Amino acid sequence: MIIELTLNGQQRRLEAEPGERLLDLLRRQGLVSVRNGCDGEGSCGVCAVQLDGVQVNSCLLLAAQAHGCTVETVESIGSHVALDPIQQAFVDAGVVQCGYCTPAMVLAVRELLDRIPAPTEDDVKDALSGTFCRCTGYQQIFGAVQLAVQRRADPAASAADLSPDFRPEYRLVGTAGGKVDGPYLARGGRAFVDDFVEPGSCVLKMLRSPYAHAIVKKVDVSKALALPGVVFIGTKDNCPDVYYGQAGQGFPEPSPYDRKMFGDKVLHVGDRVAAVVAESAEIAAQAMALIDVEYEALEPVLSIEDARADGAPIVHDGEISYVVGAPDDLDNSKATPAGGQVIYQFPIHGDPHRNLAASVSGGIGDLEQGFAEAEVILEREYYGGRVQCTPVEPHVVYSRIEEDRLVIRASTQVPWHVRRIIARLLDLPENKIRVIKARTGGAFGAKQDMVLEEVAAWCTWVTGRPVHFRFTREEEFIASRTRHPMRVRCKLGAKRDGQLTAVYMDLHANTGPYGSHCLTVPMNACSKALPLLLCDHMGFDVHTWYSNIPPTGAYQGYGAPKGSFALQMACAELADELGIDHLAFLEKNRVREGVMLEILKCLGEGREGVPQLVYSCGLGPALERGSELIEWGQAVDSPDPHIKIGKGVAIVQQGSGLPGLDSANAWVTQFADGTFMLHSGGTDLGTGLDTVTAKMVAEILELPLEAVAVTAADTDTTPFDVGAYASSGTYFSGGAAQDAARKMKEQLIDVAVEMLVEPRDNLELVYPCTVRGMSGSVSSEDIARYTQTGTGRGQLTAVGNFITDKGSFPYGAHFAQVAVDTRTGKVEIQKFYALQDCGTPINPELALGQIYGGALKTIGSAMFEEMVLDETGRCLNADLLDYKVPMINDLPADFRCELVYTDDPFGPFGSKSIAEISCNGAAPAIASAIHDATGAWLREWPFTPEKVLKALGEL
Amino acid sequence: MSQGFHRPSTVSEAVTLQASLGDGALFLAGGTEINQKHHPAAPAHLISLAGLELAGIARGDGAVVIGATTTFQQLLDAPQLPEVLRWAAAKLINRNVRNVATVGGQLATAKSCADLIPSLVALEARVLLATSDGSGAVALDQYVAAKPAGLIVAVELPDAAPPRGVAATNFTRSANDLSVLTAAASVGRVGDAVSEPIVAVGGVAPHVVRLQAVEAALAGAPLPARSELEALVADAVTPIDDLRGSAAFKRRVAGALTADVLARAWQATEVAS
Repeated sequence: MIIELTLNGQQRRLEAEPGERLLDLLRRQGLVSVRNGCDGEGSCGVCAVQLDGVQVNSCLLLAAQAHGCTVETVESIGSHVALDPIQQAFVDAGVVQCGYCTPAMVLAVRELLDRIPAPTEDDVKDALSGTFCRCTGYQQIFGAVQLAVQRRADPAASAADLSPDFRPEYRLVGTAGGKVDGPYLARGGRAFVDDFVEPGSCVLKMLRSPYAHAIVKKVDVSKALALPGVVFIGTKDNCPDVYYGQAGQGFPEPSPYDRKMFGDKVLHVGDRVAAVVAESAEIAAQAMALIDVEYEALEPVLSIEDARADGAPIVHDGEISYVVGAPDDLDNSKATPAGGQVIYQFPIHGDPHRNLAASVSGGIGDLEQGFAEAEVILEREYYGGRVQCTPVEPHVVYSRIEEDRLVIRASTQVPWHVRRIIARLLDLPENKIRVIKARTGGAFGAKQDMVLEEVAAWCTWVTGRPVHFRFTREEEFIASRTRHPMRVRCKLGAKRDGQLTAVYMDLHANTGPYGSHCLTVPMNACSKALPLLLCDHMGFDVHTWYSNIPPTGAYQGYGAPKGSFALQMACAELADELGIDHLAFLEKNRVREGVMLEILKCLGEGREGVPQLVYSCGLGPALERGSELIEWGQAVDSPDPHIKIGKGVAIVQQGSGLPGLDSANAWVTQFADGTFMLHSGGTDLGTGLDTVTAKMVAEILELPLEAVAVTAADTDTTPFDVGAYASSGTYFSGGAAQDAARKMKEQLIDVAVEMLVEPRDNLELVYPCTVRGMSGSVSSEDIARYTQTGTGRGQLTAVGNFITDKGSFPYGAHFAQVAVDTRTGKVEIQKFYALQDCGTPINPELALGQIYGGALKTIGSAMFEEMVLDETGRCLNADLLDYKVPMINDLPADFRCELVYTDDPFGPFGSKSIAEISCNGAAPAIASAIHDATGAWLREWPFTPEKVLKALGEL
Repeated sequence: MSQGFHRPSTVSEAVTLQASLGDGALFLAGGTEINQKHHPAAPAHLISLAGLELAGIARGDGAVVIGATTTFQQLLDAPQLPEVLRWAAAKLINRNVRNVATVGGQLATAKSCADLIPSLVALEARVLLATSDGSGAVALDQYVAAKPAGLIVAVELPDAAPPRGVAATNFTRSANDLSVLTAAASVGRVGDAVSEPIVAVGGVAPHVVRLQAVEAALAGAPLPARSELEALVADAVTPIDDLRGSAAFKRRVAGALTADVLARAWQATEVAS
């Protein structure tokens, strides 16, 4: 049918398919700012456009409904060289992180300011009430809107009031501004994988298992293959006969190789059965319906208790082997052929034939002695269920053959791991494969695992055809990655004065069908919880169990949010039992600068660990500032006797990458006009890493930021980096950029020695990238021309690398004030304060954004996020309608994050990590506040109203 | 995928078209339900109401008339409407949806947790319907129970005389959640006694229901204490267990919410008189 409309100011006559949505019609016109995050639920709002001047979701409208209307997208705002004041304010305020939702927000704010020129915070919430942003935590948007309002009157209005500055001795480091990808993301420019898919590309759709546990007896694709437009179907019968793991971790991985691309057994509802490659999505869907699959259903294992039970069904009942270190008692006598294989790279103390994927135990001192010394012993159990990372952009990949090589554009955290694993799967040398990380529309750990790239790559390599594979929102829940359910028993011993004498964690985790991160996530629950406390006797036992729930893996914070919840709550309960103020208890037992963390020697993630000295720790000032903000110790009166108000606190830490395991690399290259290109292996997920590295280089080379362009995370054009995980970005990738820049500085001075004919000691590099001597000076451009002519030494390129054996730990304290309605169980978060030490914040506004975003994610998982499975293992709420995520109207009434400055001796420019730690505090801070309000302990999250009423004895 | 898209320009044209196309044809207002991913099988024909000019809020004879394609945002932005209606309109998910979703669409869908419906029931709203045989009016609580055929052209709110107190509230898991429970009440006052109470609750049955047992217990007597009200309501509702909450939880919260709205509605009659 013909649709006539005014689109971005132009009269257009467009042909639409019957039933076509406005979203799809607009994307077909090349308007890539109109995005899809929920497949037409209307939940996420990133498809928003203005229809006759009002903000609407284009996924909920048929194209036919726009007939005769005016439609505007963000492409109508600003230009390719200049941003609209709203877009510029968004960039300057630090609220453009991944940028996936930014165009929708910019449009909404434009509509708001047209209606209400000076909006209140409530007006802003109303305007943005339909836009889901997982990155920013929304809070800084209020400042961005105020800045936009000021800029409408005064285009020169400054953003300086929106975030603090650090390190006045530097021009760029420690000062807000300049996000390198901000402008084109705010414009809605071509940036994400979907935006690069060419017409005529094939679509891949995955037929998935309806059973949680079944043997796949037969997959008959003959009818489907006969359908015109079907190009290829991949199944267990034709896929590579290679076992591998999908976790993007350094090789050799601590996660087992326990799957093939398609297995003889399906191990969860949503497991892969057949990949259909077709010339359109509709044909692929028709073909899926024509595939006959014969299953032999098996009893599923769903919980930790199910997995541990005597006589439990065995998830991996095939052959077990080890690349090195096979145990002497390895017994494969009960292995079944359909069970496939589990290949451990090295022992992680698993026993798949009793559903045990991995285990580890350790400790310092003598626990028995510690408990004998205790005057009070407290033992409690805590549980946290399934939550999903929900990046607004789901997993997506576009693979094609270019010049006889396989080119994979992916939304991934780990381009080099993806290349390595795919090379092995397809038996190709790594130099035949190029992985390009596009801008990612959020990742949060889910994209540390390769959950679709290898299938698309294989299909492209087999067929020669370009293949586009994009997860649906449902697939994001059932077939990507979720946080491991964990049951943690904590046992604490203390003297009556609150001095801890023994700390023990007994942790059981549910890894689901595959062992992605099965050792490291649960271990991390201990390694990021125990070292917060000073105690001579500490111990832990960790067991991770296979089951048939949807796959688990990494999620911002890794295991720490659950370990932290358990141990921090046990501390709160112990303080209460001792009659000691919770904050005083933490102050007495907390880590501080100068202590040696001996416990880390037994928490080495699959190898020998190293005790670390705490060189910098901002915990003291964080606790002091937080208790002042929340007026700790002062009771708050409630206007209603049914509403009880209380306050809570938790302390948090994380690491900064994996010392001894991680490695990052960077090159800095000089161009003929004296500008520079940074080739960074670092993987920016919207966090601002490319801005971190660019600022470091520009700072060292005495350049304006604009004189350093960044290209990053492309396996052809940038050097190796392990990827973005374990909070490694600023520390490792930043460290590599710093190293390359320092080496470039040396090279510039070396050349200037020749050019100025002066001794090296006379020369210094001064702004703007000029080497000054006694006799004169040479600019970067002079040096470039000198080196790049026929008589020069060649173009200057510096190669930087960062490895370390030193750990740098970010610390923080989170405080909450809640109001609990004892009639309904509803908990309102009145105040939430996060005070965090990330050393020197390189980009303060973006660092704050990481804290707000991380804290709000865990507020969501503490309050209402939860994947619910039925007794067959099917997820009942695999969408954003019933799996609730925090929207702008869920913000705590008073939400404040602050940076506590410390100077770390090892991180580049004194920096430490910032993002993951932000997820660790909300659950225990809120639960301890609920106790303060009501006297009830919530030991299982989320703290739904129903659980609150039960804890209060009211239900 | 729908095949036919029709754009009638009058109500009679629309209802005639629907009669001729049969059950495979649906009226399309904003489309936020019909176009939604989880909506059951796409209809063979859609009959757009966009050309019917049914939007708008007008003063009729002894009533306020709200046109069927009035959007939720238009309700929210209409200061002349009762506060409970504007409150209920604001509860619809978010502004992007409110800009499109219509009053008629919500009534035709008649979800149990639609916040607008209890408020409209408490205001004694009547649904004006057009069919190919003519037109008619039906009380909203009857409409959502029986879902008679026809095109909703408007909702009529009779003027309340003497003044009645009315209040509404809801319960969600998060800000953008469909209500787990939603409740509204209106009461008159004769001396110290409640008169002609209306108690409408959503989330406890397949559609919004009036709690007639509660209404009967309240009529003609002073408003009972809150705890007694909570127990009365909890006994009168039969919610189901689902992932949004257990039946026992919903019973308890329905009691708490309904006691709240009755107390506030009663308080409003004190102000009114």
